[in-house]
Amino acid sequence: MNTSKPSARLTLLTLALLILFIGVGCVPTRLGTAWPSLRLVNNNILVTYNDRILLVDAGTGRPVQLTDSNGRVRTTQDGTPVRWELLGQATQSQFFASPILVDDSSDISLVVDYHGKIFNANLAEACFSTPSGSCVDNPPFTAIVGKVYTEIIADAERLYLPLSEHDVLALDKASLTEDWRFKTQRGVWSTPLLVGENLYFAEMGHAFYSLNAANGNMRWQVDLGGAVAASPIFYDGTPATDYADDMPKPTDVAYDLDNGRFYAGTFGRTIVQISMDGAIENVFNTNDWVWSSPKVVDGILYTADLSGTVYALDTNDNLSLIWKQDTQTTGIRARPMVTQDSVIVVSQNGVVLWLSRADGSITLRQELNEETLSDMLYVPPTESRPEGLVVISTINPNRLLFAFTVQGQQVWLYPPAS
Amino acid sequence: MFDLILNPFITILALFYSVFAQNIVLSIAVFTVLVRLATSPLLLQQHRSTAKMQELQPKMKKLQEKYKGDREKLSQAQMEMYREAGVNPLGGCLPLLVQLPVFLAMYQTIIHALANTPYQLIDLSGRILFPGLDNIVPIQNIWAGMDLTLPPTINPTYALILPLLVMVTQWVSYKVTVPEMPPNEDGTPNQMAQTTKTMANVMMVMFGFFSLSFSVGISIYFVVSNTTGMVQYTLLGKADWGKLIGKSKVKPATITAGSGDGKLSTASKVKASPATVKSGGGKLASPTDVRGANPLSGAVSKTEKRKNNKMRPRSQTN
Repeated sequence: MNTSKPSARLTLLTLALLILFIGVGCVPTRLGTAWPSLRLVNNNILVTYNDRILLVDAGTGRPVQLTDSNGRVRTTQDGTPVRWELLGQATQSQFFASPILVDDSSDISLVVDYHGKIFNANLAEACFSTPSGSCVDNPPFTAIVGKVYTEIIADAERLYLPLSEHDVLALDKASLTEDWRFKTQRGVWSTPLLVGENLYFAEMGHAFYSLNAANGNMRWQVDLGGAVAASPIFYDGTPATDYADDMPKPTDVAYDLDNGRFYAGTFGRTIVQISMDGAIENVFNTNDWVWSSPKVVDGILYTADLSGTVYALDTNDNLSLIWKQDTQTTGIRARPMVTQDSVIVVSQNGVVLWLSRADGSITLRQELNEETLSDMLYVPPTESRPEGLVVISTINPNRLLFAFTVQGQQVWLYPPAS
Repeated sequence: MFDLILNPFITILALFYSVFAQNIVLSIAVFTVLVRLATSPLLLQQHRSTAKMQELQPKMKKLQEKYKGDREKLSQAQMEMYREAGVNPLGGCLPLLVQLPVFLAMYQTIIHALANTPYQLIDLSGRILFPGLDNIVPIQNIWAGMDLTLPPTINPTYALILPLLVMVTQWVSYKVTVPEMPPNEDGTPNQMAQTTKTMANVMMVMFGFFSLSFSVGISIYFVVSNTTGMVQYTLLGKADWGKLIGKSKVKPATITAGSGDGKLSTASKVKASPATVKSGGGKLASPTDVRGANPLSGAVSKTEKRKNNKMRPRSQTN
């Protein structure tokens, strides 16, 4: 009896099923939690990611080294320069929120880790410390119940902590005691906004809130129809002065509250415009979930969704579409950056695109070949560096930061290639 | 390829979540039951195939004896036997192989749907295929005070009941659904039966360990899946609940007294008719039923076996 053919067929079928079986069973499941956060501090880039917070020289892309009071680089016993970095191993911490200075005249900061432990850190010494700034191996901490995925915000009196479970928590900045707590339906994954005397934030349970920042009393809330994971923005029509990517400063900016509007992207595939008294004024439908904060420059709102489409909408004309561009990439999580001529976006799979502000056409493409989810950071020009930089962070610690000129030329990579 | 299974599954689970008043546990339970029902034909086919293979075991043993040392001939004879009996030797494995990806996809669906961190939610994006279902994201993952995305050890103490439930349902399920092997003709315990017993215990411990390490949501899936499996087998008449109290459908081997030839026979109370042995002739009778019965039981006496072994050339005993 000839059995070779059926056997071969059976073997092939078994192999195919085994491949399917392995393919299904071995699907990668992410072990990490969130992505890096970038902040500009005295022309250095403060990178907060997983188990460490580190400083990188924005001009050179090299790690910042610790210096003594005479400005000399500190070294270890074998002569190796000591880098500026705060390591979470000592406190068994993961960090996704940048340190917040207790006051501007001090080097003492508050560092909130993912599990809600609040430490003091001495930024001059790059160490965890006591509240007075003395470096210690086992620093004391204040524990709050809740996880922190995103940047926290502070004013002169309080820290405002968005907690991923349910609450927004206001702590007295000096004593770290609870001033007030506001419970939401599904938790807050994005950074609240302080505008005037009020705190504004959106939650995963679809609502957008306005609270009195002093006592946490709710002024109003509105249902946006979808979860909001990216920070809403406030825009009052003020012309852009630079391309800085930072969110509105809390109290040191004189907002034109009469002309102000909030803009938020939702998982309900919409961009929503909300008035100062909590009314939904306009809704624009996108192709997919919106997980990036919009950027408004000169009345035009730029945003992107997780299908990889970039949109330019007219805020002065009921969020009407000016142009949209399907970038043919994976989703875009990072907030678009807007320069004089271009809208810069980076996709989840690390494709950086320069789009024309006028019509959305793609003018330049760079590939990082790394997964990229963080918001980009704009580094303004200095005397020695006449061109501003666009810094992009990946989730790969071995290729963590890429710096490009605003024209798209790569300047450095961190960590530097050995 | 993986997304072809996973994304529709996630969408269906999201749909159930939307329909069942955003109760994720009920949604997981209903979806698990439906998936198990949908794979019932495969289960049935697998069971039939296993039963047929069991039926052929005595013949197989005989062939192995006959062609000991000549693998090629043995293989040919086996294939011939399968062909005549209309049995596919892989018939028991293939349905299982088809079911495994489905069950693994269920497992992955629950992990993905209960996304609880930014990374996990990014992974979930684009997997819900109906745009109207986006507004149920993120899925509520707190149930009865437990965070379904965390292992029981990080949840309230009462969550530890889930790994216990998983272990119990897993053990019972294995015990009542895996057919019992009758003892050998010489009365010694069947090695397969021993393996089955060990496997029941190993699986129970293994799944208990999984449940302690994986999220509570997965434990709920395990419990519902095991329970549904038992109900399915019971409805198909394939579950042997007697095994739990030591009253299996399969009877242990007994030595038939009085026949004078030292024959062994295996009786079967339920369904399986005892193999008919014509006295003194050593002839084989066709089995009247397959389940749990060894149609060759009593056919070959110990004496005959010994005789056969002695007659076999030494070179063939390798």
